[in-house]
Amino acid sequence: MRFSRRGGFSVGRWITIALGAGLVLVACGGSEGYVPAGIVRSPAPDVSRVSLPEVTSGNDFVFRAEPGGLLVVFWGYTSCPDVCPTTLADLRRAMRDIGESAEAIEVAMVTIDPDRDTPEVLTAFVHVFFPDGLAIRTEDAAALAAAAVPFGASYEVTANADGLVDVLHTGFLYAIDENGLIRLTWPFGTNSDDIRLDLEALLKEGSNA
Amino acid sequence: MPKAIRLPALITVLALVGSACGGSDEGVSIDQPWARPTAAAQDTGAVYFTIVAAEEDSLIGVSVSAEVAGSAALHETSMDAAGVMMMSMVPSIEVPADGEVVFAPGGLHVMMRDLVEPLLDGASFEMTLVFAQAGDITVEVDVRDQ
Repeated sequence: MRFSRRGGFSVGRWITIALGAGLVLVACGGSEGYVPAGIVRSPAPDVSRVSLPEVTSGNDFVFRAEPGGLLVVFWGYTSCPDVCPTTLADLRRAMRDIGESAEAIEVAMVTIDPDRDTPEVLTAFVHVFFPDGLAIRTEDAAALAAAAVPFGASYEVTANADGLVDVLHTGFLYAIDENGLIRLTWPFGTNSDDIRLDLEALLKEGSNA
Repeated sequence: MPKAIRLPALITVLALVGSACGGSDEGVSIDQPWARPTAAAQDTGAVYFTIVAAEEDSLIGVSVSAEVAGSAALHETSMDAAGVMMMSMVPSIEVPADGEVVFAPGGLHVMMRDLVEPLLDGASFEMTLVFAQAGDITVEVDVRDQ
């Protein structure tokens, strides 16, 4: 009944290997000596050709930051009591601590559960954390699945025997630059101070470019 | 013979007195229960706290006030090697003597389903935890953004 994208685990495992390789590259390179807490994937995944509908504007949203800015994307769902609110609250804390320059950071949440996350529910959820946050939602299961691939996001939404909905999903936050490249991927549970330091480093780099 | 009868009776009486005096406060306490505010139409929420126990016990059930949510259960979030998050029901939690068990974001939590109304920052609601030994412990959960 519900959309289910199986095989997410194999994609995830593949990503883990890629992430591991990225970490090695970071350890060996790094001209400035700054080692981010987020994972650097190499080559940086390109999501510039991914677009999905944004609820408020009704337009297709292209996953690229504004020039010199950053776009932070989370794939989640609103019936998520623990992981999703925790991740968004940590990101919000990081951005509050950054202060004014955080205005150059856009935040977008893509729902993996469009059946339950109606446009209204999704928008209300995103806006609790980020009043200007973007709510990305499509009912086109194939388009959503295709968009997830370059991110390395995986998800599975199934109704169990009790009629309750079980959701498995990756809990990463992705920092995307103006070229649509995923510069950093933060695993669930990354400390908000570490996210802040990483965002500040990326913003500084963007303003110097 | 009379002695053999009296001794168990005495032990029973002492045990009753013990449980009446000990109750929920001395055996187990629940520290700093809190929940995040929720958005309008959001149907789930989570409660976090720390259980501190003087005596070994097990947490076997939970309920929240009916004004807040339809049901509540003990849950645990876990992450696999590929970063996939999942939640599972936890039938019971063992609390070691003189130990504590932390319910925190990304780990153990009380999952509330069918929220009746949004949890508003600054509000509070009642939650009852059921322990095998200590019995029911009801605490006031603070809703706050953190």
